[in-house]
Amino acid sequence: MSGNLQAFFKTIIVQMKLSIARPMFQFVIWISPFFYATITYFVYGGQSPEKIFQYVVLGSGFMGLWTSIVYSSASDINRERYYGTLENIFVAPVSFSYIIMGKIVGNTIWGFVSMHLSFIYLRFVFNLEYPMLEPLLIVSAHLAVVISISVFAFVMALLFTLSKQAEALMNFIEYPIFLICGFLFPIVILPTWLQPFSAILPPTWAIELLRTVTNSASTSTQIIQAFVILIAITTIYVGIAFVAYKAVDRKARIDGKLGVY
Amino acid sequence: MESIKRFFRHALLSYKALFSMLDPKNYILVMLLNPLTQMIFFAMLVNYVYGGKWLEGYVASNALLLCVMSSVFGMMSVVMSDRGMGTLPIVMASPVNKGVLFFARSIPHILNGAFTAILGLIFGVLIFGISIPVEAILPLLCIWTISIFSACGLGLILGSCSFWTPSMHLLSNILASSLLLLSGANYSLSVMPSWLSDLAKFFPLTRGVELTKAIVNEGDTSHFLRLMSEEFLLGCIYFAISIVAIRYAEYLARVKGTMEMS
Repeated sequence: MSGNLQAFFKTIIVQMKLSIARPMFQFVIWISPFFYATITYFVYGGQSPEKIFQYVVLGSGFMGLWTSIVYSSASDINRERYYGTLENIFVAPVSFSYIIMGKIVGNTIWGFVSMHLSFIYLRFVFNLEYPMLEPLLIVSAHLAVVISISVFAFVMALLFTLSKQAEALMNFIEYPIFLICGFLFPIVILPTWLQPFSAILPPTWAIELLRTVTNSASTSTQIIQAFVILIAITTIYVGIAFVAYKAVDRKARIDGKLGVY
Repeated sequence: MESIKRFFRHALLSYKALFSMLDPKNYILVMLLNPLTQMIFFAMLVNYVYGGKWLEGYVASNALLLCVMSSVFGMMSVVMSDRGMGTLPIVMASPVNKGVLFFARSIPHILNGAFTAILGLIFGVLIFGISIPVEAILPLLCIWTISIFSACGLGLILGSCSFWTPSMHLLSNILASSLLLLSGANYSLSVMPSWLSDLAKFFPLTRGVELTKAIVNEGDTSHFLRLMSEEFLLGCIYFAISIVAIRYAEYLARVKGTMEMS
């Protein structure tokens, strides 16, 4: 295994241990899914089982996933800056991008734990009926969602690298994404001018894919279409991440202010 | 007269020194834009689920809930910021009455909470095209001020934990989420299990949300005096408990040596 890949996998493990040691992240992973799920269930309580599954189960689960990204991946750069270790990681022989990606994947795994805790809680506490799922399909959809969310988080982490307001931005971006990406309601109810923003954000298509593969009425064409859209938008974000990484790397070296808090 | 001046001077200085007013960009992002997007999100959600029924009441209730940023996270900073900067032992060793000191520090957060809530309501009215009856404005201001006072009292009890625990982000987020869950801002309390709605009566904002909905949706002020008296009493009890909690927490911090641990 090459040095970079070894560092990537080691970073995943170290990051998972470090993240869960923080009280705030413990709240995000172990406690917030119950609040999201309960509040959403109380709002949607009288609706049809299909709607409850689509918006309460998947929606609140995705809220937990996104919150875990916001309070970990998006803010890890800032945390390293606060500890005074950001410059060390940046100039280490192992590529900075592998370290960041390892951190993001580690955090996203925790995010999925939070999401599934929410599923289990709703199933057993509120006795919700879940549809029968095709295992291969659901595993593939989960994998696509992990990759897509990780790539999106990587782009955000890079943008936050350059910002001195990373902590404030971290606190700000939670609800706008809930809103714009239609976690708890369809995006068609948003104002028309806002909908293009929904369309260019991977979380919108990630939750759409999960909704499509778990909907028994979905045709195979609709499922393939949902996969293709998510893969396509993720590919575009990989390109953006590549260009942004080069730009951030160059700017950080020229300005020399990476560690300025 | 001098003591009153000192009370307000301390309130202003502590707010400037300990809170994000030092950095306007931070303040706008965290204390204004973040709560506003939360309000818009929940208003969009209830508008979709309930088909626009009683939207005015839900928007106004969610606007009131925006005070949580000040009453929980702001109040937490009353103790935690001093601790983080290493000045808490000096503050606690000063001869000043600690009850008066922490109450003075709470005043700007009560006002800030009211400001954010009012701003939220104005945005809600503009974005969702709803109207709030003019005669509802004065009762709403009264309800919100008392509710926020009460919430700040509970926030200060939580703030007292800053003396001995490093897990304040965990505790503050649990409290903020509990207020969102138990207030009934986005649903009727009748959808909750009875034990949860009984528990909600011991939390601030529940009565404020109930009255806000009643006044904005139906112009019903029949329970105004009773509910507001209860809420005010609850707030006074919270502040009284917070004074005891701070004294006890200070004792714990001295015994455990955790006052300077951030």
